[in-house]
Amino acid sequence: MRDYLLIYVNGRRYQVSGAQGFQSLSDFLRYDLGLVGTKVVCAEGDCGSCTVLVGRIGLPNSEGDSKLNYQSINSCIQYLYQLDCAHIITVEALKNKEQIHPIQQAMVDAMGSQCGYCTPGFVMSLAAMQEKEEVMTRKSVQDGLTGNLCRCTGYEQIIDAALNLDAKPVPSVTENFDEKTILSDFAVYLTQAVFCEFEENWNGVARKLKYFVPVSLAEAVSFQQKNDNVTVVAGGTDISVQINKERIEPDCIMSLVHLSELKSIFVDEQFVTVGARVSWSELGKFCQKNLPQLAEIIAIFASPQIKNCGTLAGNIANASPIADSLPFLYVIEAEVELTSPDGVRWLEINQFYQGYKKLAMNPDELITSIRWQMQDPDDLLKLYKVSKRKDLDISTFTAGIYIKMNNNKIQISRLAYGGVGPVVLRLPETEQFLYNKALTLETFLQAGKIAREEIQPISDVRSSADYRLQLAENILMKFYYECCKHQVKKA
Amino acid sequence: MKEFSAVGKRIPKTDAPDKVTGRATYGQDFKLPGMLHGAIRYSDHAHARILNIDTSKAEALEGVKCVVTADDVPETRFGFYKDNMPLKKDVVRSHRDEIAGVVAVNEMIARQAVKLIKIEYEILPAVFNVADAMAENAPLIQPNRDSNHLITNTYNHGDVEQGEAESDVVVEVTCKLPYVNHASMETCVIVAKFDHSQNLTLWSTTQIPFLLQKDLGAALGMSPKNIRILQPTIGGAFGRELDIYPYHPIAAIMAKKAQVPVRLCFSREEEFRAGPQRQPVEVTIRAGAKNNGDLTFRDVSMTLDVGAYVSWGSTTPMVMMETTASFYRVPHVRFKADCVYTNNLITGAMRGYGNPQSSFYVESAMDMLAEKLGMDPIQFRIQNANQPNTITEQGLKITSCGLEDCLKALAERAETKLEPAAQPHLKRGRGVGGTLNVGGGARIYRSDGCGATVKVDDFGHVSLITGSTEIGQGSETVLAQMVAEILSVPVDDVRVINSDTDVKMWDVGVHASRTTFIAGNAACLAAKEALGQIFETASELLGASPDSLKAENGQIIAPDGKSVSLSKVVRSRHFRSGGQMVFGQAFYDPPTELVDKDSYHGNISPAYGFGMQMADVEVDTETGQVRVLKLICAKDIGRAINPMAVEGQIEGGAQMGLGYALSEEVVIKEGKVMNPNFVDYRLFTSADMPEIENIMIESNDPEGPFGAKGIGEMGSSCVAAAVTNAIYDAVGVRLTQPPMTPERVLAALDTKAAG
Ligand SMILES: Cc1cc2nc3c(=O)[nH]c(=O)nc-3n(C[C@H](O)[C@H](O)[C@H](O)COP(=O)(O)OP(=O)(O)OC[C@H]3O[C@@H](n4cnc5c(N)ncnc54)[C@H](O)[C@@H]3O)c2cc1C
Ligand code: FES
Ligand code: FES
Repeated sequence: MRDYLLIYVNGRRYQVSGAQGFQSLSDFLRYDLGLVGTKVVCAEGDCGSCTVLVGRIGLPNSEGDSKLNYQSINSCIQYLYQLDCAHIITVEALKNKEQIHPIQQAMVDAMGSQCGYCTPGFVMSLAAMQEKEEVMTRKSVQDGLTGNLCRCTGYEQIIDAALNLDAKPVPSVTENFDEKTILSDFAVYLTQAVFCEFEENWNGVARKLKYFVPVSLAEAVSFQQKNDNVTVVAGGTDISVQINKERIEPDCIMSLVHLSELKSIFVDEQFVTVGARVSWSELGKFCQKNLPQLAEIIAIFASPQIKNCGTLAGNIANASPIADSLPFLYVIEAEVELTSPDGVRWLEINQFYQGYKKLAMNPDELITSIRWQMQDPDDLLKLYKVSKRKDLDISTFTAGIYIKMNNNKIQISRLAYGGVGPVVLRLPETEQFLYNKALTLETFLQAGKIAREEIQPISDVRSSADYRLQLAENILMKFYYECCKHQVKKA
Repeated sequence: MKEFSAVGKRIPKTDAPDKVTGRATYGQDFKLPGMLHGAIRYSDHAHARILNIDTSKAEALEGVKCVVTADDVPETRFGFYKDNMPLKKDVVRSHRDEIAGVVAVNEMIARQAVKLIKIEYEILPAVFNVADAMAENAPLIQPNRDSNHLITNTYNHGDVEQGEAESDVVVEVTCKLPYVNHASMETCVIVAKFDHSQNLTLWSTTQIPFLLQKDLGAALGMSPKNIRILQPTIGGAFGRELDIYPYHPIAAIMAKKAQVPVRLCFSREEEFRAGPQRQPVEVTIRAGAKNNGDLTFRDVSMTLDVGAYVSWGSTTPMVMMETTASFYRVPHVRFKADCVYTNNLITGAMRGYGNPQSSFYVESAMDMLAEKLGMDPIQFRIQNANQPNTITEQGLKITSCGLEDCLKALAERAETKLEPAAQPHLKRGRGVGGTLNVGGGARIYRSDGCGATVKVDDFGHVSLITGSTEIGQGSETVLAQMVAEILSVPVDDVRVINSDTDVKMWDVGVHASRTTFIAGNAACLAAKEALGQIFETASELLGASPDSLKAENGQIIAPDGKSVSLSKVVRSRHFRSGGQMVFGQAFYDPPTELVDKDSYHGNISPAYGFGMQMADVEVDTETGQVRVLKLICAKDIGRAINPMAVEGQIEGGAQMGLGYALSEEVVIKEGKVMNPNFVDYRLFTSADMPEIENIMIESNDPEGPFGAKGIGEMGSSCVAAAVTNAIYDAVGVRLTQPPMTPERVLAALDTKAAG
């Protein structure tokens, strides 16, 4: 056990403990290290001005060598206790030997920077794309930059910069650092959990705080049992926003960052099983081949930076009624694996929520994985997310529609709507109505009318209740136009 | 035409290398020794009397240096109508009213302490819309006035009744335009410091350093001559900093009491709650035309909610008036705007300054007329387009004018028809919208000038010291290009100094798309004077007459081919008995006039810019979602000093305009902002952006530097108009309330379906 975090920043080694570890990476960079090239604009993951690269040890290759895999993250919502054994690269260190880095030069040449406040963030997002060896097309760049807001350029010249870049080979950012030393350092430290406890004395009030970074599931489960009010942090993309906005003030944190047991996706004859530490980026990659409908939603979910950190398990546990994963999980009737010192149990997602943010989960339980049954490729599945903008936008309304046909009649239908109540809702009456019906316009027109009656949405700053009611009806028409018409023709 | 060496070239921005490497230092990045941090306590109510302020708990908090309230300042008033004060003492008039401030060792403690200030209020009745504010017996917001009605701006030419009588078709539409936020990536930040002799130095993201100097003097009860304003690198402004707001004097009050430098930095939420917004407008336009397509009249009346205090933003009706009266040729026009106090948010200037609003209603009406006439919307506009070298009824002297060329360029693109969408619930449409903008500043202040000094040193290095301000738009680069062109030196040899009121000459500020034009003209005049001195000395060295010389690549060349380097000329002039330096100076104030204060006639700008955009959209009739597929921007820019910079302005404007059209709105409820963050205030991302095509029409303005006109604002002004017309084309419903969110589009479709 260690009582400090080990973090490298731009090739320099830092041991961080106590209160220092309990701050956001952006604060650490800007205030403790004076690296002010990283900007903070929103402090909640929306703008990407604080984007940096984080390198973590990846799986070993066939020769048994590991290397650091670099990804973009929002430094404003990653706290240091999530970054043990990570190498952070900021805009200041992005160079090509002693020269300006080609990405930076491309941004200069294409005038990708006007006021420049967003620029370090864009540079780092492009660097992340380069590290992943993504092919730069207009589309891939637009998608790769959805996590970065710019108010000056309209993005065109930034996209130009990225497209000009593709023609030239760009050296990996890692070439500026002695990666061997960092790797061997990490290899040693990754075998030890971190536990820091400290007292904060301010204004006559003492507060005890602690954070724990276990390296095994057993340690994690036992910590949770022994301590009250443990705040579990997976990707931190929900939790850290709440901390930044002072909605919560946790004093006991457990970061799951090192739980490699939970980092895999297993597929067998029956189930797809997704570990609780699998990031949205990894799940997205998997779905591209295996589950295109979910891949489509993941493609417009948040931003690369958020997806590199956030998890499906976090999305489920955060329990927002507009969480984008839920309609899918509801209609596919996924199961959540809950692990406690007493063992493991599986709970069907449709039984998981008991009210607004109320989970059928005990305080000493951890979500360890989520699984669902493989679907017949002929089944119809469609997921919807309605929001003002295309990407990185909180949904106003979400829907999942699943239909299994038999003899040109609907045999099974499952409908789940989000954003229409305190929890995601299945629509039993509409499902009942659809049973044994043909895929016709008339069927879906009528189904829409019934669906509308099954929900009682509220109005909020994102939309009115009326609009949500209308969507409840219309989304079935959209489904018909997009999926069934063509299906009918095929048959 | 002469080949230019620097002007017209796609040159990267001179400040870009520092920005892409994270080295540029912004206000939020630097620290002064001993600097402390401030936070502001705002009102808890939209309208209330302050009964008591108890700061004791805040003062006692560990880490707090001091607390400031209105008691710490002489009672002063400032603002466009002198209706605002730095810290409120008796009455608060909106949720953003500043009551007290805390100075502490860090921002976190300052913000904690602010919450500990206990304020007792007596809640007063409040008004949150224009109608309530204008009602009889409405609670009075500003005590020194008879009513909440601030001012009516009226304008007339011709005879609207006659115009209507002559019309074959008449249309009318009422539009409601929202509050929107500048959403600069950097929030407001200010650092204040007093020296031993009580001179104040401010590091500020202001766009109007010299006016701020003056206004701040008034707000603090001190002489402006003891105030120096420095501008660090600014992370975007877009009009937000076009005025004095209470946080400016508050920072100084804090620094004075704390006796150390103090920084005040807005959080994103504060930026939404306490910063100014673009003002909401409700406007009705009636317009007519003859069967032959000639416009006959326009009759516009509107109300503007200015909030509880008035800023420069209250002059936006004058801009809307200009579009209404002079965009396209209309023989009879009547315009009336009522500005009204409410207990809502403070409103201010924002990029386009009234143009996005006026373009929206004027161009909506234009399309409605075209439809009634059965005319092609673009041809209809061409028929009524403004023409070069004409004077409008309002007195605008239109010299260069590329409006017809812009329209013809779009007509050519429109020959390629839109492909229909693949699925029946997706409908596509196309629409155009345009704008008339001032192209060379706008005289809304007694001077619209800018000063410049060009000096050349012994090493041949050139400094341009300009009154203007760089807010990211690229003025430093463009001004350097002009000076480099005149002196025939590489652009890299010109450094632009523009950030210190003690050094630079006066400038009214960065607004009204004026910097390239006004600061450019000043820089060119100063550079020409410097060149004259260079030629004078070079003529001695080369034995040729000054007017026979030319400058090329840092060399001065005589007709016989003999040459001498620029630096040598400077040294020769300098190091001799009775030596002189090379420096040229100029103050350029354009040949314009303030409008007549009653009739609002007058030529406020030396040039006018025109722009048209065409949007292709796809509407999902089941969800109401609108996707913009393509945006073509045709702009009369005079001349592109740097085409890449022009594109950057237009495309950046498009992002802002698309947000205005489709996603951005500051939602308020009883005067309180409900969506003060980027989660619920949606800016367009890269993936939302359509393909953009830029068409630059170079009309070569006779007064502009190298023929250039302003372009900073035009890109954002007409997008919403083009989008609403395109939606109509796609699905046959006319949306009159941006942002045209999925919800509003679907509701409009439903209303149409219901008959
Ligand atoms: C800018 C931005 C955009 C976003 N966009 C979207 C979007 O488009 N759609 C969407 O649905 N969401 C979105 N989110 C929300 C968030 O990213 C997702 O909910 C994400 O899946 C959360 O995962 P996480 O690992 O980061 O959760 P964390 O923040 O780490 O945790 C969230 C909650 O889950 C708990 N938790 C996490 N893991 C476990 C576990 N294994 N066992 C028990 N409890 C656990 C935590 O204690 C916490 O209460 C967005 C967030 C941000 C900041
Ligand atoms: S500061 Fe906006 S995402 Fe981090
Ligand atoms: S360059 Fe100003 S925000 Fe992007």
